[in-house]
Amino acid sequence: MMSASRRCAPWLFLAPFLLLFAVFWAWPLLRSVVLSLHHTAGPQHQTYVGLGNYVFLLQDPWFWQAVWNTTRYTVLFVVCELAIAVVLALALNHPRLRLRGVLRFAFFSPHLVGGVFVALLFSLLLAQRFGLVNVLLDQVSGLLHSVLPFIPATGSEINWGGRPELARLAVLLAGLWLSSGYAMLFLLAALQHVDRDLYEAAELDGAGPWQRFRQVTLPALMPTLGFLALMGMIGAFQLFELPYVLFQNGSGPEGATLTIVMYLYQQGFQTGDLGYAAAIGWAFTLMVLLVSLFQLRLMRRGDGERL
Amino acid sequence: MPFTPGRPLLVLLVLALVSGAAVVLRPTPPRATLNYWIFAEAHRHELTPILDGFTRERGLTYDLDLVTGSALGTRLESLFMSQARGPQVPELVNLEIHQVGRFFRPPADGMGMLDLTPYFETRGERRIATPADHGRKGWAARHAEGGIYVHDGSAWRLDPARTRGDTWKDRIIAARFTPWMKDGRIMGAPQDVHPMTITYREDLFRAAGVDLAACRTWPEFHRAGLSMQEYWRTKGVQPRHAMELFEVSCDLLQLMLLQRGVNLVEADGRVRLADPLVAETTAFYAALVAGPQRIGADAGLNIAVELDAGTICACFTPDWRIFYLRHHAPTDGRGKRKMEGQLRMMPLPRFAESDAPTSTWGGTCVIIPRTCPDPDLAFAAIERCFYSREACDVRLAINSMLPPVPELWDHPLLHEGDPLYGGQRINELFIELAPHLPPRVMTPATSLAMEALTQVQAKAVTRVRTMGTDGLAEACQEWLRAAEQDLLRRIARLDLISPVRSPARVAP
Repeated sequence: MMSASRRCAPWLFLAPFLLLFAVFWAWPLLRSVVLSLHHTAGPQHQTYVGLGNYVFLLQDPWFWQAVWNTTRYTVLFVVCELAIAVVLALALNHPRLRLRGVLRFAFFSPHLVGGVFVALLFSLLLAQRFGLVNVLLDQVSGLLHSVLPFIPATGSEINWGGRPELARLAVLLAGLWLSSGYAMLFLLAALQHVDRDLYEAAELDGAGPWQRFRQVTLPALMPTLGFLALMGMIGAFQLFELPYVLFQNGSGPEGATLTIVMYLYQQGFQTGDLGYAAAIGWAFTLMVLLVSLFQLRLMRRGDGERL
Repeated sequence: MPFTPGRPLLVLLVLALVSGAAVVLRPTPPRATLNYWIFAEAHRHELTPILDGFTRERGLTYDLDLVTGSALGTRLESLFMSQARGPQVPELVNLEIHQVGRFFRPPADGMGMLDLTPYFETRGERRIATPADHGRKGWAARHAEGGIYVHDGSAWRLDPARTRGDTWKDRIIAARFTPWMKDGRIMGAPQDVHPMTITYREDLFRAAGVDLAACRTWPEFHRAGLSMQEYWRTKGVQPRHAMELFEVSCDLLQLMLLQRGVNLVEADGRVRLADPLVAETTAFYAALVAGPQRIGADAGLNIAVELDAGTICACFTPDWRIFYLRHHAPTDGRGKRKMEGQLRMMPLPRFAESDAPTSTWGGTCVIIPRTCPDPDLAFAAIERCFYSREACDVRLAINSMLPPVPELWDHPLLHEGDPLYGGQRINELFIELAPHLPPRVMTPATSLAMEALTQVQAKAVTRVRTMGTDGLAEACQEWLRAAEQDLLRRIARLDLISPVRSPARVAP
């Protein structure tokens, strides 16, 4: 028969985690479910509305605009991030490259400073008339225009926050600058574990660089790419601080940069509609869960085919 | 292999106990008597000398807790939601105008902040020692012997019908109470007035042969801006924009609407998004910031640098912005501002004669949480910090913003010439405009209405860019009608305020 101390020991070990989990995770989650079923107006005024908040959510055009914006950003971000990260990783993995450590750190460093700093930096870079990007565009396009008159000169007046397509591009560029180095680091690690014999065998079989990349490198990177795609997707779905700092009202022109989390924030913390914000939060969780499951399934299928 | 808790668990337990004991036994600093949450470093500079004096006289202590921006709103929301009492509740909290609407969702008696109406109606009563004392027409004051006197323009006359002299509610400029009121109750104490003017580079307009100060209406101002730009374009100076105007944010459009007496959501719940005046003003504004008749641009880095460089030649200036211009204006290396003497200030042009010659941008109030331990002390601190002559001395020396009590406007610092403006007495213009300030209303639905207006403005700007201004007002009206429908749906769902549609009125 098991002694009392032996029976209790695992629970004692687990107790700190379970306690913290219950207080800081389970209870708030439960409360947010309850909150999402209420209309709230301060601590003393809550009305039970059942699924009213969720029904309203389904008919809310701003919410659907946020979903569309977020989805579009996520797809573009994940595709571009992985492409850039692969290129950077391949370049940094080149045996003859010097100062590899410095370059690796340089590409990774934006991830260390965080989203708010990157957004502030981009708001300076993209400033009208005085921002580096606009000044460079002005000079380069002016030069090209003088040689090739059919190329229009952009001037330094581009208002990145003034047009929907430019605002989206600004957020995407900032997001990529922030995250590509992080993804690159994983891919670099994966590249360094690819069996050299496979490359030699492929070379002996007459495979060129592109074929070696397609037939050897890419399959070896697939598990890492799958993981990065999943992480990138979850991160992109949570997009908030970049548009919030870049564009003061957050939503951007014509709501171009209104994301789901931004909408949640606006409803919960600017309008004070905590019940509706909780409903948005749960709808968002469900969406991320479904997309993640779908993606995991795809990855498993891919693994099965490779095996 | 037998498993017992063993050494690792013992180490963990000892560590937990030791660290727990350290936390519990750590001496907590004693709570100050007066705790004040502020959201800007500038508040600390202004309030420290005033509170030093206030607390010294009373033998108290104080603590200024700087919680920046939206963090303060979130912290306050948590405080109200938890209905906390005790030492963690501050006596005073500074609240910015854009944050206040969300706290107005509950009915007045269920709000987290204390109703300050009784204080404003009873405290700060004006007093006179003799009927020969200084006064102005309409003022009411309590005589040292108890009677209430009213000033008729030449002297104080006893008025037996009156029961009290003017209190803070009468002595503070009325339009500054409205943003902080709910159901007619005053929930926040106004700290400022923030009348609006336009600051412009007089030298650049003069060189172009344009007398901007002579513009009485917005269309005249628009034409003057275009002439100025055209002149400099022919001289090869580009970019040179006449005015700072936001392309995306609707803050400045909303200021023009206030001038015309329009709050997007009025205090009685009327939603005025689809008011024809809003459509007309939005269409006019869009043509200012886009298309061939454009005179406006967003400031790229900061407006002081743009004004100095002459890339933007005018901007809206509420009184708080003067401090900003002074401190960010580029200098010539010897500490002298390069554009010293080149700026001038003028009142806002109007759309119609009935419009106000000014508007208001920004604002801060101070609230007392309902569960604050000592509200009387908190209100006494408000009186000292914002409505006293001592505070006026300190605050004007730092930022030269108008205090909300007109009696303090005779302060010498408010009547000095400003070197940046070529010696123009700019504060006298603020003083002249302050009584015409349009009342601004903040409701729980105001932020939603602002967001809707922002989106309509963006559509209007895009339309001007792609299709010109033909049919723009009608298109704006259509967009605003749809936005109002959506807003009414949101308001009705939450029963925030009783929604009323825009009156079917025709723009003059």
